[in-house]
Amino acid sequence: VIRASALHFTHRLQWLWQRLSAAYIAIYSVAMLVLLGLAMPLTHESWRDLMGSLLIRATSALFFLSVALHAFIGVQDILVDYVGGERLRLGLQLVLLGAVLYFTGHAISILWRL
Amino acid sequence: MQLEANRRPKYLGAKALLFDIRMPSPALVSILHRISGALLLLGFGLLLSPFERSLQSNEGFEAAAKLFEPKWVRALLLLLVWAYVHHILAGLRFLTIDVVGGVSLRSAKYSSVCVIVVSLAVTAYAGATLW
Repeated sequence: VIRASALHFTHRLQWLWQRLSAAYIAIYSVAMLVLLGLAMPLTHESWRDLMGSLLIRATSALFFLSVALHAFIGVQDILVDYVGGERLRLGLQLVLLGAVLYFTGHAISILWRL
Repeated sequence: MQLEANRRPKYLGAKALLFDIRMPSPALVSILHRISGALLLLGFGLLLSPFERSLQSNEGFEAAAKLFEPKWVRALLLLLVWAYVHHILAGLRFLTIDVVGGVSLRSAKYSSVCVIVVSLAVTAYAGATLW
């Protein structure tokens, strides 16, 4: 019998999303590092222009979503491995979910207002 | 029988985990993957508000830049750089193992030592650029 909490999607889906988000994060990071390197030395104007373009805003929004999803699955794996009490774990999972949702909302709102 | 079972040493305390159990390099890469992942989540959370301020106004940009002037903040930033590089390299290693399937002990040792050494080297390079 599989007793998974409501916050668990199936393991295979987790596995897949964890890797898809990881691949996107890695590619975005390298691309961003190159763009930042080219934009050096950074001023407020050049930084704003770089982040303000529609392409960067869209890809950055996807980046923050990927980070949130990746972190949610990853920290959940840690919780499942180290926190034995089911109630405590469910509590911590809810805290994690709240933190990740708050982070995502904040990040997207920053990009939205650019 | 029972008595004998009870007299067996237990290696589950923090001291045992830290000092007594010899960790082979693949195990070290694995636990560091977890630690760096947790650090990165905390780091992202902390960096979001300077990120926001730096985009809002010229003053905000200056203030965010000023935030990274103290040496200890740069040291923390460097820790995050290490976490990022280690997490990505260790992740790529796990992905490769997933795709390639069973790997030999030799290649497992070699690739795990590579992950540790390269991420430290990149961090050193980043540190030299930051200072």
